[in-house]
Amino acid sequence: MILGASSNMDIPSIDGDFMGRALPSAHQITPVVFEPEGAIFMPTTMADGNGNTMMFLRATSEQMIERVLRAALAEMGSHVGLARGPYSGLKTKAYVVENTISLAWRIGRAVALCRQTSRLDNVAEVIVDELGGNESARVLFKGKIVEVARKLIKGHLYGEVAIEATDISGKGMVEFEGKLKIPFKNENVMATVELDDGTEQVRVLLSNRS
Amino acid sequence: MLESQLALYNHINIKPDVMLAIEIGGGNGLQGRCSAMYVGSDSLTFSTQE
Repeated sequence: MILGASSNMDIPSIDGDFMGRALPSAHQITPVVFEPEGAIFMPTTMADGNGNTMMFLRATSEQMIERVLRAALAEMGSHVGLARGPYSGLKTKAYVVENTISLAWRIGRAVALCRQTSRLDNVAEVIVDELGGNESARVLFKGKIVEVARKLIKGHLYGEVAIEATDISGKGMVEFEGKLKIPFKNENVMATVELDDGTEQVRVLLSNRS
Repeated sequence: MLESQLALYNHINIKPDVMLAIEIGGGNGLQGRCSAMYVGSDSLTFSTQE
């Protein structure tokens, strides 16, 4: 629908965002990295759609806004609308992570084509190709989701998903070994594999500086 | 969902032609829903992506 604003209403849209990947907190963005002092997008409003609207006029930092709004949204049913204040085009050009909207569109198109042509067994490899091949991405694991644990704490959803290696293609071949575990705080944080001999290996780690 | 945007634009005294919103969030089953409100008309449309 964002792209639809361009095609239907001749309103330019920006092919990018300030994260580049999903992160669990709203202040984990490039403008805060380059300008860490003070609040950036003011005023900020939040509403629950049930008659409760709050407005943030001044703040000491984007992290403080995140903490206060996160606490409030937990009281408002963990489902709210958030609108941030305006930001200049000059700074957007300076700090934007480019091409993320078009990349998401290409991944969506690849998945849709796999569904249409009944090639879902290879959807992971097709996504890797769309991302630029083995230099940019790789398939970590294939298997069946056997466990999902979730717990809502102060507006964040914490939990872990476990995926057990299995024969995905039905050709009697299991490509991977063990069980992949992905702990998450709203978004995926890391991926570890518990091998059949009981040892555990870290496959992906999202560091604090990511 | 667009109430927060209405409150913001009223406060800074700007009347946009259109407002767009996307729902995101962890595990609430609502991801991918989009909302649009065309300001100046009565039309309010919602669509849900797969």
